[in-house]
Amino acid sequence: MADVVLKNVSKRMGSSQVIDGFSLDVANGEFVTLLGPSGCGKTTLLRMIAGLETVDKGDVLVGGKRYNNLPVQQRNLAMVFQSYALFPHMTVAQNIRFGLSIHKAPAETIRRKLAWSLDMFGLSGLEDRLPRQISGGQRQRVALARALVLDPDVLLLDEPLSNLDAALRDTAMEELKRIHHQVGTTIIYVTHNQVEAMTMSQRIAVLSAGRLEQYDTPRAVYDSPATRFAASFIGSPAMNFLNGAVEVHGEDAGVMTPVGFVKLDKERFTSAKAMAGRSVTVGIRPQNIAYAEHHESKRYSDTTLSVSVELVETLGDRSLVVSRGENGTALRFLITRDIDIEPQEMVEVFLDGRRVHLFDPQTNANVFSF
Amino acid sequence: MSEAWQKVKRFKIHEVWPLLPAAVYLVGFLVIVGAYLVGLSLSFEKNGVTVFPTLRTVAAVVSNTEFRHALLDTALFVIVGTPLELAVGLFLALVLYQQFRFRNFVRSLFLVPLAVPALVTATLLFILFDYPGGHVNFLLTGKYAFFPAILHAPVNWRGSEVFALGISMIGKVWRDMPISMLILLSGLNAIDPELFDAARTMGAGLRTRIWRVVLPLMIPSMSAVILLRSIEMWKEFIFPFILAGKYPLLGTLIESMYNDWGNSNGASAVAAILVLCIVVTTLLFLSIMEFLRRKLVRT
Repeated sequence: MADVVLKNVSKRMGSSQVIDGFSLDVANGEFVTLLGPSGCGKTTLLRMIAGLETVDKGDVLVGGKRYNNLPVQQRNLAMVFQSYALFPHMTVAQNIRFGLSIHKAPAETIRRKLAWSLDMFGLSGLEDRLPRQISGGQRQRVALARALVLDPDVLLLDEPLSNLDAALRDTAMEELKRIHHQVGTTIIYVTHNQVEAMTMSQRIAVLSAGRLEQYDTPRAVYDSPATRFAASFIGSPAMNFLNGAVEVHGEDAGVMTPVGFVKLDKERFTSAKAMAGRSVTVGIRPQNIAYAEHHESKRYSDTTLSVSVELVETLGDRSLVVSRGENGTALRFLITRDIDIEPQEMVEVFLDGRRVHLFDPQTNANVFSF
Repeated sequence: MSEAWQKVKRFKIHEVWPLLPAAVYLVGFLVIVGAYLVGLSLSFEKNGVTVFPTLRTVAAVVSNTEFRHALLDTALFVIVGTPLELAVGLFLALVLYQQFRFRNFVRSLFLVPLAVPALVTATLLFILFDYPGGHVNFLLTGKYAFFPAILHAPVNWRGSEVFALGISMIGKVWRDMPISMLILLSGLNAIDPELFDAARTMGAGLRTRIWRVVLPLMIPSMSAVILLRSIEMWKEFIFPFILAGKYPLLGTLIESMYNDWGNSNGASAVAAILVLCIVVTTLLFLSIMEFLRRKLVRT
């Protein structure tokens, strides 16, 4: 086991800067997720840690040792690929033994580890099957078993669940969490799926275009997104954004937006007052907008808005309402399934002032985070 | 009985229509020509009287020293030439598998030998290795200023059995290398490159990756190359015909028996034995490959 530190890592591919001055520290035994849309460089970053891609600038340190020019074979890292990359001509047992036999492990060790991994990953009875003869979920577990029998310092996972169906993915997520708990290996996990990132990781690194947008616990990333990108990428349905300017009306600080004056909570009054007149982008999650009739106790910091319903999408347990404010600005919010709202209806909603995020329109950074 | 009758009743002519040309072709070339070949081999002609069936022709051919020599030479030609062609093809495929500038151009360059008629290639080699005035002799005896003299006197390349057949083999391998290269390259391209990455992360060096990942996965395409190319090697005619007239292989022996000696029964017997050799060695190669596959897969 080891910690991983990336210092100002950069990478060019052809004419595009894939990774741009990226820094990250992963503690020993931590489960960290690199989260971002496709093409943001997260897989490249993982391959750079593994040594499958060269590092143009900056340092990759694993367990305090500089890894930049260390050949892949000499790094004690294991990687699970999106395609699993199981050797199609080897059986499950041969796939799991492959790395051990390369490291010239004694026969007794190989036997013990094989038995341990078959048991750990529920693969007993499949030893002699070829990869094409087992299911997708089993293949994913073989890939994990093959990586973990090598006792890697760091386990690198590249979207290992993206080829599984939804039900299997939920089980696999629980599995991975349990395995991390039992084995305690440092895990760096790459995904574009925010649910996977939120569910499993201890910290999430949100990436966009090869840059780190935010690096924090899942809860912190959700509650106080550092940038507009982090805010929009995490949370479902996506956050509402409104442009406006900070204003102070008597006792209340808030933002004047196209849909009306959006109040901020009292705690931020002083800092908001200091930036009066500044243009900002207001972000508020659909979860933090309440349907007024259902929301009996309006808090002081809530803003009441009148919107016209455009359409109602059923999500199962809840429904997403797409509505428009007075001058046509879209606003999405959630209602419980027992509420009946029809399109064209005018309804009142409360915006939770404590959950209103402000972003700088130029830098896209959260104006309240330092 | 009733089952067979059901099958006959289900038979619909339009379902076999598309197979008809292939069937006619098979009957025409395999059955009729094959039967004619076997028939001629099993006939013996003496003083205008034809005896059939008899093994006298086959016996005469088999006991003929020139035939035995040709059989041995042909077997050597196959045993050395096929792996050589596989090795050259594999090397080129591995080189072209790498990403480099002008890769497509280089690949098309390697296809040129296929576009040159075999007769032209053979004739070029004939001129190159001519005695005493071929380019190779000129080169080695120091007739060209840019190359030091290595030999005192020119060598009669085509007069030596090893060289004559060796040059034929080089010509054959040079001409046919694009075929094995393309087969092996497509086999290589069919392998998921992540397998190599995975092997590397598990500690496999280049040698391990080649021996335990690339080669086992290339066995299907390598078998195809060995299969196709060994048959071609057995049948080879044009290169030895031009370059090794004095040292016939089975392919050229058929021609000389038929044309020079007027012995169509003997020529047919040689041809039949050649076909037999191809069948036997093909099966042998396939079982070796299967054995290797099992051997290499073990971890």
